[in-house]
This record gives sequence, structure tokens and C-alpha cells, in this order.
Amino acid sequence: MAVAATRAILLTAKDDVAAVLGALPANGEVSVTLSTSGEVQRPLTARCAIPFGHKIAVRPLVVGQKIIRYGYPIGVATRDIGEGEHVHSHNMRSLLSPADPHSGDDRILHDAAQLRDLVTACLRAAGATEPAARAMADALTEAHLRGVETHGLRRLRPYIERIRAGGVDAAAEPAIEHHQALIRVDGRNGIGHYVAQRAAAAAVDAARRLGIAIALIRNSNHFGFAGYYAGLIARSGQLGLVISNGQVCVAPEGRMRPFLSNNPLAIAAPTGDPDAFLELDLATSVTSRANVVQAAKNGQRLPPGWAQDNEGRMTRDAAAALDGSLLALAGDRGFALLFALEAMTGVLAGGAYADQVSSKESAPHAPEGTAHTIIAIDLDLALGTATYAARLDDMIARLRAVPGDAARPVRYPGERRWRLRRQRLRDGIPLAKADADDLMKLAAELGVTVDPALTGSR
Amino acid sequence: MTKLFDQPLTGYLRDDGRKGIRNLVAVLAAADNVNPLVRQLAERVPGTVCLPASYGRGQMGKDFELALRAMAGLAAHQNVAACLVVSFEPESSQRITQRTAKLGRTVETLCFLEAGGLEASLAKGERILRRLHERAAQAARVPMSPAELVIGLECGGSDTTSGLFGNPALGLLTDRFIDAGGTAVFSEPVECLGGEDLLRARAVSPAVARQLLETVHAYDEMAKDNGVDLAGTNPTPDNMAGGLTSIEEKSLGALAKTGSRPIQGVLAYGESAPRSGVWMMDAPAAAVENITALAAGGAHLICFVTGTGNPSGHPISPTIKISANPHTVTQMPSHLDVPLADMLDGSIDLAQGAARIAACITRVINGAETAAERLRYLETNISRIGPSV
Repeated sequence: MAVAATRAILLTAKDDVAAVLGALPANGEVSVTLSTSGEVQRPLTARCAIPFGHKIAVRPLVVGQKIIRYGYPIGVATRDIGEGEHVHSHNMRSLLSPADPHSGDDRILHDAAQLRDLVTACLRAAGATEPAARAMADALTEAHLRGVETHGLRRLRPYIERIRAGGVDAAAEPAIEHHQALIRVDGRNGIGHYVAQRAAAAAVDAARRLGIAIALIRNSNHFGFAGYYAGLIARSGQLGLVISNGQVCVAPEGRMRPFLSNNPLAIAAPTGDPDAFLELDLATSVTSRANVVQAAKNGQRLPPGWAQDNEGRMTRDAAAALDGSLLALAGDRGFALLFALEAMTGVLAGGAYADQVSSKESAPHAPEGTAHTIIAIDLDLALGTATYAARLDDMIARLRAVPGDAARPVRYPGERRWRLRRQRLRDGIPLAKADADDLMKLAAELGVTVDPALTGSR
Repeated sequence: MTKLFDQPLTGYLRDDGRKGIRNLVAVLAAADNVNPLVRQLAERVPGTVCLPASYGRGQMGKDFELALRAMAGLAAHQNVAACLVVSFEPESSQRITQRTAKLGRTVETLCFLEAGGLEASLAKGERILRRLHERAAQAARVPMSPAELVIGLECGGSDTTSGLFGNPALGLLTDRFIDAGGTAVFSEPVECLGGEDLLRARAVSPAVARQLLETVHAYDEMAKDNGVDLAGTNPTPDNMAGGLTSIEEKSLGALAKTGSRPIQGVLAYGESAPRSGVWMMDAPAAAVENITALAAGGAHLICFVTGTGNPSGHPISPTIKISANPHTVTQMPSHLDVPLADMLDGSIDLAQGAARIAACITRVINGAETAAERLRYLETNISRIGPSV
């Protein structure tokens, strides 16, 4: 090295930033010393000029990530920060000061395990049994890990309100009856996530013995995102298929009120990578109700073809759509698929079906009567789990090899979700401040002590 | 690992079994109305430490309690061989002697009204002080262990070098001192604002964690009541230019001097630590009030890290000045006991910095004067937390 490197001091081994001990030019070489041991770390290159005493990132940081110095958080990254970048008020803020309203991103990363524990504690305080609380907490946390925020923590408050209103029996244990490969489950109006998780586990066990099993579930409740349960089966080395009905929201074209729910269909299977799965998970309406609610909140107009008003006319007005109905994906063919899915969910399970499923909004105290159908196919018995995974990997490779614009790679279902999950398990789950604050408030209302590390501020 | 202190430590054994590192004779005013008397007494008997009072009349409630606790703590300090407590009327000094007795020390008293005015008080007080000096001169140094030692930890005039070198070096020494059974007391809860994660992690129990946070946040509330938003005004523009971005890192930089060992609890202003380990004292950040609180709480000496330079020392607790700021080291060398500017270019590392502080502590314990003692830049002042009537 022609020019001597500028020294920088790292105060603890956990720290994300070091202080430079000289005025550092852009592209200047930095030699980082860990002050507690005197050990010289690998060299860094400054991405820009950094003044004496200021901080340099010793590793990449993502927006929302807490920045560690002296072994403790000193603030949060307000944008992605590369290794060797100057860290100061332009890309970091104190956890005690509010986010810049113009930055558009006030998200802070939260540890997934701590969030799961907090949600579990909230549900326990609301009267859920330990396994039921854990089941829902896991499903809600997984929704955030996989980027399915619409089925995440924002639903916790309404779920708990329904438990408290007596609409859901949080202490109920599902009744599970085995008839060879057919499993009949009475959810007894228990927490939907728990009922479905128990049914999926029963299906996995039965399929391991019998090659295939199908669980038909009635008297359940909203269970979050269907991909979670298909994923549970896939993680057991099987192929999972999950259907559910739910609150009615989809109308046949031109009709004046909704008749079916937008029954989700999820299919999941293992690939050769233990942290990546095929995970199809789609609602069968053009869009989810959550997106329409959001548009109504923001005063935005809906794209054409999403919804109808209560007269059965196409509308782009979000409020009119909420009062009316959504449309099935792919027009008549989508509606036909939806009809058939309900024929093998609510109708088959012996539970409520179509417009018999109770509305949470119009009848908060009444059981929903939701039905689910869960199928598990044992891959070991089919052709060997490893063989199946290798064949699926091959199909993915061949999909990627289809020629086209290399800048826009084609993705298989579940690819984004599981990549996001790996990243968020490592870095944390980003939560908007309002959502995090509401969760802490809910916990306080329930008398739950919050692990202070979670609050991210005082 | 080298020894914590490079020489055997010695101290003066007191009646209560504790040992002091100075053999002072002090004259303490119970209230401001006898300050002229104690000042003249200290002038008449050279070598007497003068501890005037800032207030004392019409104090009440928690404020009065704080003042009494601190005055008694100073009068009963191990570094003080004997103390003469002076008051206008007998009740004022009695309130203090009752407390020094509880702390295991007896003190002499002098009452202006009983003696009959200034001249008579001066004559009587001078006789007492000369007798106390004669008795103190009989004391000899005996061996002392680190476990018998209480060190106050303070920083002021902080800058970039304080958070990077001075405080971490003192923190490393504090860890080694605590591991040897010592007692360390830091204060300035207001400077812990933003360091809550550290306090929670280091509190010896959840109850202590709550107590630490309550103490810290009380200052935040107090500041807000007075229209000051501490989190909003910190770091200051100077701090920002020096590379600090958030109040968290400013506080963590200050807390670095306390090392990494568990925090045992919160002490009131001027209260003694009931057992060894690291303690937080509830005292404001202003340097003179702060070192007075640490001294009243029984600190044998105070390690004071400064960046831009702070000259103040306490007359009873020798105050060691530590700085890694090259400018301060060059411009104000006579005010510093431990220059650490050579940590900046890596000429000495953190362990060597800590060893240099330890060597200075050893010398000061065994009798060497600190810079502040040599320059007579000594001041005492007890905080006020309420009005007089």
C-alpha cells in the first residue's frame, strides 16, 4: 500500500460502525482495530470522504436495521448503507426521534422470535390455550417473514376482539376423527390457525402411513394465509394442498350481492433447498379485500375490472366496492373454479358454505362456521422425496432457461416469499412505527410485559 | 494479566474500620450563615479543608434531606481524619452529628451563639482544630486492598476522544477493579438517556432495571417540565460535528467509563454504596455538584475523564483528570493527571491506557497529589432540588 491506511476504532466486536481517526478521502484505505483486543480487522475502503471521529459502516446495513455501537443500538438505518459508507444523520436516526415524515419509511426491524413470543403472550392473556396461542403467533409471524403483511399482525387486534366478544372459543380443542385416509375435523369454533395446524399435522401423519390423506374441517375460523398450512406439509417432505372458504365477498358478474368467498388455493412442495419451497397461494378474486380497504382509506380509485357496486354494476369507487362485491379472477372461468373449490370445501366438510359463512362485521358474536380442506401427499411413497425435489428443481431450472429479458428473471411460485423469509430471519421483520406502536399498546391493554428489546425505543 | 495496581496500596485506618487515602482535618458549615466563621478558621489553621455551605436556612422536604445526607457524608468521609461541624445554633450541627454517628464517625461541633460571637468562636474553633490536627498527625498508613476502595467515575467536557479512548480505557480499568472486589459509583443519570438498552442489560435484576430507568426518565421529565427536550436537543451541534449522530451513542460513550459489570442499584445523592460492585448515583451532571455527591457518598477518589478540559477537583476526594484530546494534553498539561493522547495513533492500546490510569490511582492513593490538589482548583457544592421558605 503506497499511502498508509487511516486507522478506525471498533469499540466492540458486535459493532456495525467504527470511528475513523483521520480525515478520510473517498476511496481511502481504512485499517479497523477492535479496541478491546487490539486485533486488526480486514481492511475497508471508504466509499466517500469521512471526517475525523465520524463513523464508517464495517458491514452492509439495511433500511430499518438497528445500528450497533458500544454493543448496543444507537439508532436505525434510514436507508440501505453499504460497507465503507459514512454513517451519520443523512442515513441514520436516533430511535428516540421520530422518523422524517418525508422519508416515507419509518419501519424498524424486529426480531421474529421476539415478535412471536409477544403475540403468544397477548393471545394467552386473551384466553387462548398455549398451543392455540403458539399456532396463531407462528402463522402471523410467518406472514411477515414471507411478506404476506395483509395476513399479519394488523389482524391480531380484530382476532382478539372477536375472542373477547365470544365469537371465537379460544380454549376449544378440535375433535379429530380418522376414517382411513379421510380425516373429519370439527373445529368447535376454535382459533382457525390452531384448528388448521392440528388438521395439517393429522393429515401429514396419516399420509406418511397411507400415501395420501385429506382433512375436511368444519366449524373453524379465519386461519390467516393458506400458504402457511401448505408450507407446513411441504416442510414435512410432503406435497400440501389447502383450500378454505371464508367471509362472502365475490359475486357472479352482474349480480347485486356477493355469493362466495374468494376461496384461497395453496399448493406447496419441497425443493432441493431446505430453505426454499414451491408455494402457490392465491385468492380466487381479482384482488384481495384488503387491497380494496386500503384504496378506500387512501381515497384511491380502483383499477377497472376489480369490483361491482351493490347494483351489480362495475365500479372503480373503492367505497362502493366494499358495499358491493369483488369479482372472481379470470372472469367466468374463475368464478367456475371458485364454485368448484367451495364444492370441495364448505359443502364437502359438512360446514357452512357460500353465503352461509357468517360475516365478522355484521355479526361479531356469531361463529363464522368457516371450512377448510387440507390434502397431504407423501412424496416418499409417491416416488421418493429426494427424487421429487430433484425433479422440481429441474423444472425450476428449465423455467429460468426460457429465453427472454435477462434483467427480468422469471420466478416460480414461492421464490420471493422464501427468499424474503431467509433475509428477514437474519435481519429482522420490518414493522411500520404505527403498527409496532399498536402492537405494544395492545400488549399493554392486555397486561402483557413487553420485552424492552422489542419496543425499539423507550 | 498484570496486577491491577502496580504497588501495594495503603490507607489511614479510621475508628469505624474503614480506611482513608488522605488524612484531612475539615471544618464544615452547617448553613451559609456561618460561612465567614469557617473560612476564617481554615485560614487560621493552615492545612484545614474548608467546606462552606451554599444554603441551609429554610430548606425543607427532600431538598433538606439531601443536604443533610451530603453534609454528613462529607463530615464522616474516610479521607477526613477529623471534622469540626460549625453551626449558628446548636440544632443545625446536631442534625448532622446524629447522622455522622449513624455512619460510624464522631465529629466535633462548634456553635456560634453558644460560644458568644465571632471572636470567641474563632478562639474556641482554633483550639479544637489544632487538637484535631495533632491527633490526625499520629495516624500511620496501613495496607489497604482494592476491595476496601470506592472509586467515583465522572466525565465532563466530553468530546470525540472521551467516547473513543478516555471512557473505554477507564471502563476497562473499572471492570478489573470490580473483579478485584472494588466499588465504583457513576452518576449523571441524565447522560444515560438513550442508553436504556445498556442499563436493562446490565442491571443486576429486573427490579434494579426499573429503578435505573425511572431515575433516568425522571430527569427527562424534569427537563420537559422546564421546557427542555433533552432527546430533541442532543446531540448538540458540536457533538454532531464531532461525529455523534444520536443521543444513544452520546450516552453509551459516557457509560463506557462504567465498564461492563452488573449494576447493583441506584444510590441517592451522597448516599454510600451498601456493598461492592457498580452503582449509579442520582446526581446531576454539573461537575462540581457531581463530584460533591460522589465524595459525600464515600468515594476515596474520583476518576474524571475530560475531552476539552475540566479543572475541578473535590477537596475531600482526590480527582484524577484523564484526557485523550491531543489539544488539551498540549495546552493544559498541568491540569491533567493521565494524558492518553497517544491512544489516537495506536502508540498505546486500550489495556495500556487502563494501566496508565491504574498507575496514577496507585500513586494518588499512596499520597501523591492530583493536578487539582496541586493547583488548589478544588470546589465543593451540594445540589439543590427544592426552594427555601
